[in-house]
Amino acid sequence: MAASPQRSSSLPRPKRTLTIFLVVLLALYALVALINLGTDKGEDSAWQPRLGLDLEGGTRITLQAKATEGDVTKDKLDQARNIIDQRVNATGVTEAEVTTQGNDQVIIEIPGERKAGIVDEVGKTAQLRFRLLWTGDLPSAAKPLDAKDAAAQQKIIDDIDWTKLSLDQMITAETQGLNTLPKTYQAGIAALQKEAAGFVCNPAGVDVDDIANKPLVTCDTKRGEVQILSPTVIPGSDIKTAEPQYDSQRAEWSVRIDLKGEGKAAFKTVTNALTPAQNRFAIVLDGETITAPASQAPINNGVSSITGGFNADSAKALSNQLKFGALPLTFGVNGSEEIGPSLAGTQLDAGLIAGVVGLLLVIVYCLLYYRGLGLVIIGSLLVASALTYVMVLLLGKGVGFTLTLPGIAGLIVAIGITADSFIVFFERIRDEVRDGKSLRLAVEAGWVRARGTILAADAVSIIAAVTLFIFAIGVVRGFAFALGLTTLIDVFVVFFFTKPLVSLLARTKFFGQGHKLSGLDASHLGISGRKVSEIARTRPSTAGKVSR
Amino acid sequence: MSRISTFGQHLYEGRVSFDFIGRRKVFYAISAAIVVIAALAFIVRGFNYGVEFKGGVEFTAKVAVANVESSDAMIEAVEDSGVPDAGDPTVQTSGKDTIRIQTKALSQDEATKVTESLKKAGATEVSQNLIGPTYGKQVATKALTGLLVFLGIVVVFIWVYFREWRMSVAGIVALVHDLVITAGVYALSGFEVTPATVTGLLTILGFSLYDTVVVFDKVRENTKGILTSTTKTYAEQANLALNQTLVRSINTSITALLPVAALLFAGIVILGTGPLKDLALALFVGMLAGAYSSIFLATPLASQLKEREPAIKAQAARVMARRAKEANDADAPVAAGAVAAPSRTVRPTGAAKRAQPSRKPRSQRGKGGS
Repeated sequence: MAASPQRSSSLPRPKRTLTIFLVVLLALYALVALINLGTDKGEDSAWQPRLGLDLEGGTRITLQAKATEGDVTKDKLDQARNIIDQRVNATGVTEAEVTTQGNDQVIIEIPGERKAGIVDEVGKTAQLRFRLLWTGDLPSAAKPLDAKDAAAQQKIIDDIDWTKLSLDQMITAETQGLNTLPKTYQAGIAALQKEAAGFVCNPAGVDVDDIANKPLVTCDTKRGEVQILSPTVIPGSDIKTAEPQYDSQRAEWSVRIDLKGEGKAAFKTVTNALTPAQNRFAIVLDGETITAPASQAPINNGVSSITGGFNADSAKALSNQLKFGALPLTFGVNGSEEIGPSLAGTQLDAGLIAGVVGLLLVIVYCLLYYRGLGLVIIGSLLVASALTYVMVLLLGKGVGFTLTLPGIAGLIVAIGITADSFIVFFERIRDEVRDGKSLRLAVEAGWVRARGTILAADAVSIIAAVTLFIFAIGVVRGFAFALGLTTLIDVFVVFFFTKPLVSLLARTKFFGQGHKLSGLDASHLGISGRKVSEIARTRPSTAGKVSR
Repeated sequence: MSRISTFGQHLYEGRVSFDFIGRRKVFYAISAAIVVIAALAFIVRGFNYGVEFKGGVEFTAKVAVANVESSDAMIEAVEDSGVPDAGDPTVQTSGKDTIRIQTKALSQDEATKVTESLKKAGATEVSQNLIGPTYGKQVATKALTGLLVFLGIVVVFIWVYFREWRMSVAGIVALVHDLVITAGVYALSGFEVTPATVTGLLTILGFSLYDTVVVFDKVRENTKGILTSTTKTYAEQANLALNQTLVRSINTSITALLPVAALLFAGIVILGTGPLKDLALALFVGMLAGAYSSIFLATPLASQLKEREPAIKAQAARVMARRAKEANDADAPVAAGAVAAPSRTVRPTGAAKRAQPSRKPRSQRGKGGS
């Protein structure tokens, strides 16, 4: 911009402000360059915005916590997120991103080609529990209980406080019969037996609510055996490690489990008590009995293995799930999205084209309408774009901001908001000129008035963006973030770039004297016969006058 | 263009003035009619919810050319996949080479089967989107919460900023107006409502109020010290503010709509159906409604509410009385040939002038107004 101030004055120092602004902008770019030097990976260039899955291609899985396991707390959700994160990484996927969303969701995003089975694997809750087999060898019923009766039985079971049962009591109940249990539990036992009598063992899998401290009616689908199980004696969280192992003699895959802490001691007690009569215990995964072995020998070191028709993959998958801990919450897959690379590419192209076209349209309109001042708008929009770009890069590095299609839409929509600030400012200047001020004074007076309006209007935009961001989920957040970011950038650009630039330009002959193309000439403003620079002296009588 | 500028100058000076506030009943009637139609459309027809709200699977298949034959091939492929729930899918072409296929809710395994079948039938690339039935509901619930919180904050913000609850009320009425109209357009046209549409609707909130705040700011400026003015009523000053910001309103609406139009264009022409189109469409309709409502609804309403205030009422009565008196003075034969043209106002200095009539009896009998 050819700006040549004629003399210094008491007006604000636009040159200094402009210089500082541009230095800051350059510094931000230098920062990105610096980060880029620091990154070794050629692919992960700091000049490349982080793209969302919809623009890059990949898989997104939304897991929804179920409210059956008591309160879904932030802690539990974070814990689950960590465990899922480890599981995903264990499957060999790099760059996968696992985040929580809202109060009860975990999002898994995996860029690039889909890996088969990953949804099933990471979403599995893997609630592994050791329970005593109170009653086994029950046949699968042909007809299930009707819903009303089933609910009534469940209520009886739920109303009893089973937590008061000791391990010894549970063992005695198995070895010497369920009638050894205190009276308070007898109604529950009857209900369990009724439930078991109506239990249909579906070979495709069972769907039961596996609640840790309550007895459970479930089945071993491979054997079609319906079972009544005791409350949990060893929770999955007592598992120290789990490894797949191959027994070459029996040509069978199994999962070796190493227990720790209380689980180790409890396992010792259980196996010691059950071994003499070769009583059985059950290993239950997500409500379904995987295996219910008889205790052949006391196990004192806490090491056991689960067999049950595993192959190499499923043994590995289960041990991964167990090793990285049982999830503190039960999840269901709420949705999964898979975007192919070429579709993603097309979306990115469409977004970029829309952005460029939108910017051009606004520029053309502003040039036509504001002429010379239009150049200021172009300059401001370009500076705002440059600032937005560098902020997107930095926020991508800093807080992991990824650019999604709605995000790009937010940036494009913001072009309008940004241009709006300039229009408010310019119209104010023109108002002041019409009121008879010289351009230099009009710029300052117009600014003072426009400033408040711009801030108030932008505040509304920011409030909208922040509420959207806090209360929205999924794609909406990216949009809100982009909108909020650009509104802030708009404020910065208008204050530290546009305003000082206009102040400087007002001192030039081209603008200050109201050149025909400056957008501030008399005829353009509709004040015929006067030059802008002269208006100060000949105040038009029309000023401030209203018809009626 | 320079004609628009001249026009702008005339608006600014009040040489050309549209009586927005005086004709508010007409605009209220128009708005009410549109809102009623929109609401009826919504009640009778309801929304055409996208798959995100119903739950299901959306497959996006890339094919060589998207046309009737390739669409049919895709439908057949879905049927051939042997997945029972996938029958009777909805199929749309989207852009030149993309076909969208929506089925009912499927399991992951089933969806994979369909994908494989589609690839066999000639799709070069298949994207799939498995959507649980609760997803859309969550988006909607969250959006509604967001909307209510936003309304709450904004009511307080406008109240504090303008020190005027009436402007809050008027702003919110205009906002609801815009939302209902946009929703009505969706109900009437049968455009699909997706989470992107919801995003668009929520964004309209910001825009609608942005515009309204700018106009209100000018109203506030014009009506500063209105109580001591004897020449202008609140309504007139508010109307002047509308006229003075008219060019700005037009310009900002155009500059805001241009990028959205580009977005809409890219969404429809390049991508066919999809989130970009849904978002841009909601924005486009909502912004038009927003530009309309801040001029024709919000400001007249704010002004009307304000006029009910006793102090403002009294002031308006004084202005009217003074005008009537001046008109009478001009009609009077006395002082014929005096310089004063009736409409010319000579920058009154407030209270001093107002006191004049009662102090200084003229030849004509005073009307004994205020």
